[in-house]
Amino acid sequence: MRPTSLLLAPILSLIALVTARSSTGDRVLVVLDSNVKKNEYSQFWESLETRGYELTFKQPKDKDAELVKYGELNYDHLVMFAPGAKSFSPSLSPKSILHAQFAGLNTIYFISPELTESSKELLREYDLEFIDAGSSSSDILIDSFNHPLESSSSTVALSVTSSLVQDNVGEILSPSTLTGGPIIYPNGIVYQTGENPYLIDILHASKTSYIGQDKLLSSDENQVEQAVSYKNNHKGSSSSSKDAIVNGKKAILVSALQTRDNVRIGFVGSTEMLKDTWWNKEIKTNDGKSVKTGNAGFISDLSKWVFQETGVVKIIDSTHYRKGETEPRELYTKKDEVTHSLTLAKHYTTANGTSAWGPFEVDDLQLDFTMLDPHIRTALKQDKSASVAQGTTYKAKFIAPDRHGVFKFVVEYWRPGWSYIRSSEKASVVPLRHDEYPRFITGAWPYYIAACSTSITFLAFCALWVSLGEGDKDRKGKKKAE
Amino acid sequence: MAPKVKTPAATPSKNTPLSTPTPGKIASDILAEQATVVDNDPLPAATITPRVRKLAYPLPTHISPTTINNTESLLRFVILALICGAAIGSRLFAVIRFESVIHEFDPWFNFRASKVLVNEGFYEFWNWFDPTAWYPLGRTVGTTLYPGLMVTAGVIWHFLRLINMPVDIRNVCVMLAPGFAGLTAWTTYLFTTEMSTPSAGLLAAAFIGIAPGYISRSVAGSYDNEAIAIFLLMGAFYSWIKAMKTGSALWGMITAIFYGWMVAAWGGYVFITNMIPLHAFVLILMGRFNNRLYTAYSSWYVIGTISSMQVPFVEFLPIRTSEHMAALGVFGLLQLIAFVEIVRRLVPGKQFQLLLRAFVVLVFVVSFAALVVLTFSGWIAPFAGRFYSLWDTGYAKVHMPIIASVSEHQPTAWPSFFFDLEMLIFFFPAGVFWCFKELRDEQIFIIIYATLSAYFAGVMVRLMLVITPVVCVAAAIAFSKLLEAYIDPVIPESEEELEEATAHQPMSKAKAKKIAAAQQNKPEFNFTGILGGKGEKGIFGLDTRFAVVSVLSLFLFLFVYHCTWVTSSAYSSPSVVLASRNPDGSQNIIDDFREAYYWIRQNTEKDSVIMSWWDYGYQIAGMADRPTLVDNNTWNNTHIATVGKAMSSNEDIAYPILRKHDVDYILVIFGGLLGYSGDDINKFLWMVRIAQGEWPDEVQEVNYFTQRGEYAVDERATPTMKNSLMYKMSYYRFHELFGGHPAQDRVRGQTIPSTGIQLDTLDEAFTSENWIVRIYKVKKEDAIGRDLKAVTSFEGGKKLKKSATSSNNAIGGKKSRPNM
Repeated sequence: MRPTSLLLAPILSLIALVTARSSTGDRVLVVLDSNVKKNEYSQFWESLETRGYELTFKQPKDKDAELVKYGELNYDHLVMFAPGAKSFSPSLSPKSILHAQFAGLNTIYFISPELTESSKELLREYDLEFIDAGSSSSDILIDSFNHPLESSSSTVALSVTSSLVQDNVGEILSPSTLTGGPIIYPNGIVYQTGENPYLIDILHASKTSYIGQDKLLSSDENQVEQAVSYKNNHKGSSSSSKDAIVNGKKAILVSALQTRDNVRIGFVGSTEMLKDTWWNKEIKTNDGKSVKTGNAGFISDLSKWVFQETGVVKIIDSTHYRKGETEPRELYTKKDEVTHSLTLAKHYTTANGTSAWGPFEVDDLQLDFTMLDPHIRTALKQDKSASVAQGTTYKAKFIAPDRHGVFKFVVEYWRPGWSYIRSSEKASVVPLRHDEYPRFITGAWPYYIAACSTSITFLAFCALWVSLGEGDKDRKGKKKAE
Repeated sequence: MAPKVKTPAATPSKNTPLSTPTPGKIASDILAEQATVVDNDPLPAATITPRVRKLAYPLPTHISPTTINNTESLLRFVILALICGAAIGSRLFAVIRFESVIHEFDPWFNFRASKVLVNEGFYEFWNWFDPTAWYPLGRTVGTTLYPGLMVTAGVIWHFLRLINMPVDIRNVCVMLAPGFAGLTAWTTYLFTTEMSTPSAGLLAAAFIGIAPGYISRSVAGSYDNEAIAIFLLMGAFYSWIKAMKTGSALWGMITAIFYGWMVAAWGGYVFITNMIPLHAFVLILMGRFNNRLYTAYSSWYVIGTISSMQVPFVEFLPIRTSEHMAALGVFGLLQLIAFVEIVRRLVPGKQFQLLLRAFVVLVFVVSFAALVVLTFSGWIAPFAGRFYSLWDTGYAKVHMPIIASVSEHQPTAWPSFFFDLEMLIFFFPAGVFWCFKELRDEQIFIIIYATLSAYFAGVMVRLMLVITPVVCVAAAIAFSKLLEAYIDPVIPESEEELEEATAHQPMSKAKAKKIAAAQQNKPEFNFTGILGGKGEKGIFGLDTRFAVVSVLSLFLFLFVYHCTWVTSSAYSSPSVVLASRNPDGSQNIIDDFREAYYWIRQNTEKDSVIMSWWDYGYQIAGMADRPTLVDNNTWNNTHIATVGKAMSSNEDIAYPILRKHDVDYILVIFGGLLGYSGDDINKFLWMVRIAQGEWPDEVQEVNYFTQRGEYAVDERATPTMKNSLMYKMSYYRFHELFGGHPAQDRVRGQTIPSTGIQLDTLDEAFTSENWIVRIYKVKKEDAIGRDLKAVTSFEGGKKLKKSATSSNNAIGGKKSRPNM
């Protein structure tokens, strides 16, 4: 972590504390299609406003809907509520939206079967693919077995237990939503998510649902058959390979994407599910029971997650030091005992609706000590003794490898719903200095003795030579004469 | 000492001196010699028959021998000082023409290391670990370099500060090579004087001072190991000759000190390690073993080896590698022979013969067996690869492309001998011949040195440096012999005359006196040749003398002219700054390298990693101060091959390599616009070859040649070539410069296709004024998980008709972990 961001972090959190519940900001731009009646969704807007967001409404063609001005984001979050818009002003073009997202703009796309081709092109950049590619009119999700009694089968009621992708939604949705009433999905589009690893599936279609056209339901059986088979034929003709019929778990209705930089994007396949009609309303299910819809909770949870209220984890502090020291070093010696410590904090909303950071406790964090490949991979254990005001400290102690080079302390934590925790710090491991080697080694005694004995013998020899040589002058003289 | 004058001493001619022709260095030598001989003559002058020598031209007579001696040494000193001055002066072209700047590649590293040494002290330098080199492997610099050069510069820098002359370390480094070239001239003088006459010494000093073969490695700014190594080489050889002649352990120790310094300074020290033992061995074989040789060699070997082992980079090599075994073997042999000599003195003859034979055979068998066992058990390392390439010039190309890729490791072309040594190369065999003629112990040294270095210089361009000193010495000997013969005023008696003299020997005293008187009456010198017209026969006539001497002088003038021209035009380019001529003759400085390096320094993060071909590693580290993947210290072939692979592969293969090594910027050298031929496209095949050495399945040299086997960059270029990162980076947007005209690559002389090159994973970050240096920034992975090709097409306005993985998904694709 760079020192500047270390400095900025408390300031930013302070700002967040006084303004909104989101950890990033509270300015929301809502791009609302002109033919959408705003007050049909009043409860949704209200729920956002009560959470402290300033909503700005613009139309797709508004020239002044600038997302980025002078390199700074004008808004922190974007709600794209214009599935049917044929064209957008340049400031809302796919390119500018993507660039704003790279700069940190969280976005929720509300899409519907009226989705235009230009919007699909943008969504395909996120690796979403639409079932009715190429067809002019709208195919929607239909379930004749699960729908509110008084509604048609195009208003699908999805059970929270079977339709939510349980592996992914644990951190995105609140427990009350997870156990709450069915989620009503009226007149919704169906799409597939690709292999993009940043995509998180949230809600998929039920087993009994299929894709078709609602109007057929009032017609005869024959036409229904035709409508269903129409899709198959159509697919078969457009591509040579026969595509499978997308259904059930593969038919995604709501998904989300968290970019590498923790910017969050949500994709909701039905605009009507926000309608006041379904917002905290009692409905009668097929079997006659009366239950409260889960829509309000579901949408709120999703928007909280996308607007960085929940599931946000940040690195407060990351450091490493040698045994007996506290400051990080640029150079460690081979076989030093090195400790790496990482303090993480989770964002939460206090009871009075302000933003705060608190402890983040997990037991599966790990640290890699990497040079090209991980040389050491060890668990980061929670350090209970560390007293950190807001956050949890994790520590890993290890012996530096016997290999010199530039190593990185790498922590990567990637779980759906949580911010990606990514920390990488460089430090070098160097060989021992010239005076750090052990001075006397037991194994080297033969050498010490050899050196000493040679020196002593040499001196003795010299002494002998000198003393004997003095007396031998005569012989020397003789030799010379020879 | 000058060789004894053959004619016995006699009274110098009484003639009134005409002006002595020419400064007559040699003539004065002879005069001095005669004078000393006269002085030392124990016999009274009257007893010898006064026989007057014939002189070709008059000599001054009234100068006392002391004056001659003094003048002589003063002259020698002045001449030597002037030679040193000339040696330094002729190396300053680069400083005057450009500026006081460090040259080329390796010197930049040496300079950087010197800065560490003077700024942080010796111990820090010794323990220096450089995390920015060979990222991420790092380099323990302190123990992987020859510290002699930096320590020498550091000592000089400290000394200058001590005497209150605060000089920038850069200036010390820049001027070190010329300074030591001056010292080399001095040691060469001493060395040659030991071999021949002082006049030959002065000639040799003058030759080595300006010989291009040596200047090529020692111009100002060429702050490389060779800069001081040649001085140390000559110093070690001189003191070895001195030690061997005098049998003094002191001189042996001085040899060892020079040797130790040399070991600390240059890997070429192995040459000394093998030269001296070889000399000793040849002397033993010639039956010239004596106690002086024993003392000199033993004191050199013991002290020298111990001092060489103090260098961290060398450490135990002297007792564990094959290159050093010869010295050890000769040391053992000398002990053996010395022992045998002692025994022979003590034991009567017959028993001795038996004992000697048994002993020698036994020791030989035992030591040879020990050597074999040690080599096979791995205690003694076999010869290193660079060593093998000395014997088989094709070896490196097959087994070590990294060594073969260096231009200075190529075999030498014949013209470069003339280019670097001019006339000296022709006088060189003559000098060696003279050594054979006298064949004293020290001259055998010259012969061995000449033979070995002549071979080495033929094998590697780089070793021209090693042959240069011996060529200078041998040529100087030959030259001075020639000059001596033709300037020596004494005209030797012809055989007839001698015969006549012997025939008349038993003649009466009167007759002898008569002859003597007649001779005395005659003028002792004869103007002959052109001047006299009186056909004094043979080659001793003044005309012949004049002709030969003037031709030799002409040679000398031409030599100086040639040396200066070569130095100025070929060896004084810093290669960091290039110069060209405008049409009007004015100079145009091309400073792209520094421009680019400073751009990196100013505009990138301190820890951004720069990838380039290894040639530029030291310069980037030195001038841009950024971590590099590979540099000129080519110790890790795999790492270099990795860079080679990244450069020669397409973007899809290269990108993961770049990301794995945290590469932020890539730097390529492109000469196509300016016609700078030393660019990366010309080096590209070596990258391919080196990469192929590591990954023969993935990179193949064949794929970079057209069907007809040409190395083409125009339309004919193969798809592999066109898709390689190096090609793309070099020619990215190149055609736009030509505004619709065909884009002409001036190095290859080919037309670059004007279809635009698309780079998906890189962004052009910087291109220098003349396009020599181009820097690209490596893009990060896309934040929303698209591949970078898709990002480029999206930014280019293309719309997706189908999502990237939709077809895979339908058949059950699996998500992978995102790349962090």
